Amino acid sequence: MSRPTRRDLFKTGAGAAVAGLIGAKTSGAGEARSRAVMIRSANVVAEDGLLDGPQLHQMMNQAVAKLLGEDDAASAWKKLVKPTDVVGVKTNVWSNIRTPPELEEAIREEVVKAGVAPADVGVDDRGVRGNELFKRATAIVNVRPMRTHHWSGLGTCLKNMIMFVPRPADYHGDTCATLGAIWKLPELEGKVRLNILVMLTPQFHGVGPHSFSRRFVWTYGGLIVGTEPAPVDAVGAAIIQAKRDEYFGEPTPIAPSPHHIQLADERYGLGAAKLDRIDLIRLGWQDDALI
Amino acid sequence: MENRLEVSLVNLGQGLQVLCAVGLAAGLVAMTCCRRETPAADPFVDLASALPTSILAWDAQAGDQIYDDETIFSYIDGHAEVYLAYNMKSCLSRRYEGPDSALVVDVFEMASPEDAFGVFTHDLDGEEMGLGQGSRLRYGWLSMWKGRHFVSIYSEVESEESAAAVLQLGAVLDAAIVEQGELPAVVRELPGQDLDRGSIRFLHSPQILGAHLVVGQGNPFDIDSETPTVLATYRRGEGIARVLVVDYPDEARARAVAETLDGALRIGNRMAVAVEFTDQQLADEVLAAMAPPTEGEIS
Repeated sequence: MSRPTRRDLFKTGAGAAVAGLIGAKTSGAGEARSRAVMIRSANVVAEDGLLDGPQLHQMMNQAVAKLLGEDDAASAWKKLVKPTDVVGVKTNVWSNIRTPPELEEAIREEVVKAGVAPADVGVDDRGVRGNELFKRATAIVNVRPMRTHHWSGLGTCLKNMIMFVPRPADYHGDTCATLGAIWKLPELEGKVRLNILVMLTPQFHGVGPHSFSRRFVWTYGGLIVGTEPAPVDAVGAAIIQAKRDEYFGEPTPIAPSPHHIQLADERYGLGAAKLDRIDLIRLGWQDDALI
Repeated sequence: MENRLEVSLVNLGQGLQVLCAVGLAAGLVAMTCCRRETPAADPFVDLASALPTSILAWDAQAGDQIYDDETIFSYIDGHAEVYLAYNMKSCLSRRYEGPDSALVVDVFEMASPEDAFGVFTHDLDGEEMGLGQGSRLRYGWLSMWKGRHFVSIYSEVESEESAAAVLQLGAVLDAAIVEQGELPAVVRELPGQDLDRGSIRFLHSPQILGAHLVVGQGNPFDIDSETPTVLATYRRGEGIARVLVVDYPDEARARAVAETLDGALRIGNRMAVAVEFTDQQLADEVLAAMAPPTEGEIS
């Protein structure tokens, strides 16, 4: 058996992985296409940071309807969940940038409107493993804000499911390359009906023990939605990468490499991760979209 | 040995700044410090006492918080594993509230000076401020290591006044921490010529290595808590060579890893390899500088 060279060891270097996310050709991925919808508003986040909840609800519904090819949101939500479903809304409560409670409530409201009993809808993040509703969930809606992340490069929709495993640290190797495997666990496989990547005020760089600085958060005013996580995350990653390059004035790769997104496509079949295989539908405000 | 890395990473050219900062800190301590209530077993009692109750426009909030290696998760949301990977023992946190923003002081007690140095090297962006045994200031965040302590002082909103407050608090802690530490041997013995000192990352965890270098699946360098490791970049002109140097507990482990890598150098229980380079000659020279012909076994 020939021994590996250092070039073998590092042939999936950071540069290559990030290049894959922003559309460069790489071998190994399939040719299947994915769809994602990005909707933005210039004023859903006010200058003082306050959120326009009703407008956010409307944005979400508009994007979901477009994603599902329906004229109205109610029909789209009925495609996503059935009245007999038990629906867990996997949110994210990171203290510095959390999923807006207004968005959690909007999801709950639409799920109930689609016929699911109010008692069969629950919202949780860190307690999902012990949450009785999540234990009997037949459908999951995954919603979280986009931010840079120490272990995985980016806090993504893919990463948001790490709370379903007993020891998240087990997935930190190779900058969380195997996050896609979590989506194959019985608690999740086939259950995630919708992914919403919150790009209202994303974070494109982190500093310090708390990995947060207001300097690196900007108002993007967007949501990216999809039924598969990889395309949603890939679009978000491309925007974060573009913002970093713009802010720092030179190519500044996301570090560590968020190649878990690309691997979610290539290894776990969780949707396309290359932009040239993603049908991205843009709605709303288009200025400074960075993609 | 003139090309070996000096013990301190402090930029001696900024020594004057250190003296000014420490002098100012001493004055501040004399003016505003008082003893805060802390548990008898609190390892931070002296440091908490040294910290002022007010600094410029910021006032300390009541109740310092102390975290251990379990409770730290409740404080450092999503990032605590970095500190645990460097054997964090405890953390003192104090918050100062000002008119528009807060300053957050976190003092981490690590298991050893090597660990304090290591967690300091996790992010070496920024400007050396001549505090402690190494410090950096960027984006309102001051990091510093000294002895077994790693200090983080963060300003939520950046301004000239907040930067001054951050530096003054850093100087207070620099003065209050009397213990000095030594750099890990694997770092100390890096060839100094062409070394980009801001690129040094000291670690002993495969996860931490993965945060700095894409290594793929598994742990090809067999890194664990018993393997002091340094990742460092050398620059000459436009060329770079990034080397990984690992000290294993015994020669057998060093040999086993070296045998799986193309171009790896083994000297006794130390393994060195160029993991990325654009200048092959530079890479070869750096590795050659680690292997004086009269020292140790070379393979």
